[in-house]
Amino acid sequence: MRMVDTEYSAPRELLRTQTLALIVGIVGLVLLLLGAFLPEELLGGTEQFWRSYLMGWTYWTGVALGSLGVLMIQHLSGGVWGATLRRFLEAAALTIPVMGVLFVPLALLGLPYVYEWTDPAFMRESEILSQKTGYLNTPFFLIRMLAYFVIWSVLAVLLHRWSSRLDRTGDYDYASRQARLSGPGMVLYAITMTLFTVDVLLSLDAEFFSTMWGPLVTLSMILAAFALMIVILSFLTVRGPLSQVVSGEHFLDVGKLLLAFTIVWTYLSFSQFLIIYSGNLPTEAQWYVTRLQGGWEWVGLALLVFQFILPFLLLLSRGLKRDPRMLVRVALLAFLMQYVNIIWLTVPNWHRDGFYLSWMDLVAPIAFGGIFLMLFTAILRARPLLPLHVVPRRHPRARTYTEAQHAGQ
Amino acid sequence: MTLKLETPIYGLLAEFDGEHELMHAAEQVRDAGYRKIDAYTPVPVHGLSEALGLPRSRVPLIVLCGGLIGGTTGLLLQYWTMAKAYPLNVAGRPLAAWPSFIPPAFEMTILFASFGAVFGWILLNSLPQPYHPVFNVKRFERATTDGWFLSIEASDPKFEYGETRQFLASLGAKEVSDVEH
Repeated sequence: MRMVDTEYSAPRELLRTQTLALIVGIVGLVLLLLGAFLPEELLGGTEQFWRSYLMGWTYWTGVALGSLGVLMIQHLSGGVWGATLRRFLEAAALTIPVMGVLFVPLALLGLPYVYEWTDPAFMRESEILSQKTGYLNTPFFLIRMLAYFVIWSVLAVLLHRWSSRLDRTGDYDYASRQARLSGPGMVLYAITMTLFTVDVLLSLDAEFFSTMWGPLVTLSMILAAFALMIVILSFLTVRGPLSQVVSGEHFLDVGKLLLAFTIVWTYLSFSQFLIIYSGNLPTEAQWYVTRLQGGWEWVGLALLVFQFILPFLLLLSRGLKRDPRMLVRVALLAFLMQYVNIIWLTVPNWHRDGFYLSWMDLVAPIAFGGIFLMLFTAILRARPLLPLHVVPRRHPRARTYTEAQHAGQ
Repeated sequence: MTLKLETPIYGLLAEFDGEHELMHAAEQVRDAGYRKIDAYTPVPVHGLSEALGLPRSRVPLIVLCGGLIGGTTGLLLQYWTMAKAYPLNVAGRPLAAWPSFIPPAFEMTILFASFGAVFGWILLNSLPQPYHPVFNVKRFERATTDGWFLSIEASDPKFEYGETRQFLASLGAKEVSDVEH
């Protein structure tokens, strides 16, 4: 084996992380299951269980799906930042099939507790809803979900496999195959993600509709994925093998992209709000009316401040973006705020009278996070942390993290 | 022979073979303590500002001020026209309907920030500048095709004609020319 292979191999601590993540995942799931049998006074119950399940699952599936999107964008656009993130993105995208399997329990047992449209009597109540039954019915929903996950899994598996082969053979034909697949793949991704986000999150309020929804929620997932990848990159740079390669310029690049994603998220969120505000039609406006009173307005304000204003102002600074120890904090904030975003999108649909949050809503993302990170580290550990035949790995004319530390910067 | 010339010159202009030689020379000159230095290249060179040790540009600050002025003006203008000067009930919305004010205020922010960027950049570069002493060097015409130049001004405290000239030559300059005023 060449020197370069061992140089970038995953550090041993990742095995500890993997075990820890597995334990957290199992403990979290057990807690959730216990919660399902608790009475409603203790904020438990079957209904609460499936709702929290959906929230936790959506959050982490979003990370996997967002990674697939960024990975394909990277194959199409190139860029020095991509080589350092590629392995993380590939590993995260490869969890998609398993995340799909984790949806099966909800699909078989939980749908009536989560989606109001599963009840035919409810759908017959109003003219608008009865027009929607052709699309919003359980069998078609399940068929669509299956189709999405098959498409994404094929994309993720192929991109991952070709990347491994490129490592082994050094045959650049695999690199161009990745780029050729990513073009049509991106088109498929845009279509399936639009439908998926509408099915899973928008249909929680069967009356509501928004053409901005698909791009908005897809971008939220990409933002969450990108923020998490920055956290992992900086973790493996500050105390890991990537310090030999990654430089402040890399962090400047990914920091700029995080700023861009933050701005686009805000732009889409505001566009949706402004269009509905201007239109002022009951079926649409109700969605915001629910969310701007009874305590929910504070969740919205928290999103505005901590998902836009604060990260936006911080990420303008060049010095902050270049310093992984600082950038990681902003990325972590953006990542956690995306769960607040999930709460904002989901819970008010079930609790329209005012703010409500169960402890299970906070355990679910931890449980699914454990499972996701266990899978992620297991996939990541199997290969070197950097693609071996992608150039340039190093930023031209930039000091790597190690060199900068020695120079006392 | 005295080192001081009868007619004081503007400075010295050294020509280098290419990007890397120029970068290297710029770093050496900067580290030697010269401050009034500049480089002229046919193409933009990434990292040359750092190599020359130039201070941080003040353009971003001007852009920020422009953006803040534009945004505030945009919001106030709409508030004044929509809620004070000519109150108009649009579909029962509040007179100060702030969500509708955001897009024009945003556009004003961008407009004034762009003004700040363009005019700030022009002013800070003291443009338009039809005359510059380096034009007196015939070879300098090649700065737009294939010439890579580094200049040190005579007003630099560290400037010492013979010494500086020798120093530039020792950095691998193809040719060092005197720049007249």
